[in-house]
Amino acid sequence: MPGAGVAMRVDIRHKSFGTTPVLGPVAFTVAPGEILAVTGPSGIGKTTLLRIVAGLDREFEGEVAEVGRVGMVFQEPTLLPWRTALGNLTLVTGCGRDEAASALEEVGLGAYFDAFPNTLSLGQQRRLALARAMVVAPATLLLDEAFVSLDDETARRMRRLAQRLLERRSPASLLVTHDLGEMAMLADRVLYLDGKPASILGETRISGTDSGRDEPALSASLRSWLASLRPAATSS
Amino acid sequence: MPRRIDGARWRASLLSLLLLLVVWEVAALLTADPTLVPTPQGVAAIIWLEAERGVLFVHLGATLLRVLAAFLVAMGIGCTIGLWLGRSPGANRWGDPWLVTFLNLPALVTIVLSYLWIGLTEVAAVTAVAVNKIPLVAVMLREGARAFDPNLDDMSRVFRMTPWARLRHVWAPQLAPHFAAAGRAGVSLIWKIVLVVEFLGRSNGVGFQIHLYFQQFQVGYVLAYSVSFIAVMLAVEVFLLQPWERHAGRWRRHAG
Repeated sequence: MPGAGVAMRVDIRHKSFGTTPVLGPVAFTVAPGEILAVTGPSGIGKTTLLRIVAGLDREFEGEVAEVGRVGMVFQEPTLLPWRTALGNLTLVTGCGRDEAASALEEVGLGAYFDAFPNTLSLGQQRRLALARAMVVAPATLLLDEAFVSLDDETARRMRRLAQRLLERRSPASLLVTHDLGEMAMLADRVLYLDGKPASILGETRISGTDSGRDEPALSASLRSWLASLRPAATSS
Repeated sequence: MPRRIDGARWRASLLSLLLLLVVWEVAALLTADPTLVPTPQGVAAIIWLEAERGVLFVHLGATLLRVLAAFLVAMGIGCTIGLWLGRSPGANRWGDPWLVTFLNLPALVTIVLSYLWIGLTEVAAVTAVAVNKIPLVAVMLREGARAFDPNLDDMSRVFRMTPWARLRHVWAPQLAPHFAAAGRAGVSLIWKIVLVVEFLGRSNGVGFQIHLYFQQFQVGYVLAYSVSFIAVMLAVEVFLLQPWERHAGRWRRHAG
């Protein structure tokens, strides 16, 4: 599954906000084309981890290497409300109009070039955010709960769309999620973060090709795996 | 639907202006002394006379140019300072006391000092007005810069937007409402101060004319120049500022 090229390397030894330690030792690599899901309780530091990888937070001990160009889909769509869908791609990423147009076509927003984001539904906004992340041809793709607060059907369609786009471009992807179905469908590996400060308490590899996965069975086995790591809590 | 609301607003505005004229007329009739309170039609006749002689436009133009120059200088410098203080807490700790000092500096003091230090020149006049206005613009823009959406900041950094693109597409639209408010407050404040500047040390402009006719006790002429200039500033508001605000805010109204 992982393609050619250098794997993205993350080796965080310590990260704290003020005197509160957030992340302990967290180290992993993600090969090009590989999708690594990161899960764990809310507020454990998953978003902090993504921000470090994205280069948004540089105040930590450790090293992040071979990240290359980053595409990121944030928890909120985080679009420029005062620019059109097309402008949100060209003005933000510096890509050409044609590239932006085909990226919008790819996510099914071909009819919305001149629409302002607040005229779009949340699902469309999230697809626009996904198009923006993909149009930069990222070496590293970061997805921070990119499919939350969508209804099941919309979320499923978006995951399938993301899967298609990822197969075509093969970035090293880091996917923060709580959703077992999402991990079962997209991830090649899953890391479980927990503790104060948080560190990797478990790691599992998901086998099977993307198309031939038995997702319900995978979800069930992920659920029991997570339950064994976190006996007191239950996951959705 | 919006058109009807607009129409109703226009009618109300016109009626209320008409009412102001009636009050003026009644006051003039009660005073019964045209040298003290001239009638609206008397003032209108003077405006017509001055316009026919061409002097009205010379002085209106001179004042308008000063307003424009002071406005551009004040907005340019005020926005830069405001943006800087709003973005950098360290700069704000040092800059804030200065800002408060200059905010509380009376316009008259700035004008007099500016004339004394720079001389009775155009530069001194524009500087004096701009210095009066800069702190206010800076304070309003600083509030805008403080309220920037941190998520958009992150986004623009991840996608490596250039500083220029960030300024134009991320910051400027967020600042637009504050910029518009500062611009409006600016225009109305600036033109009043410009008149004082002209009153004290210029040889043309509406303020100079008012000084002249004040010394000759010609109330009609004082009012004629004031009313003309108010009309010009209202036109700027209605035909320049409001359309620009509508254009800048068009993305909001598409919601829903």
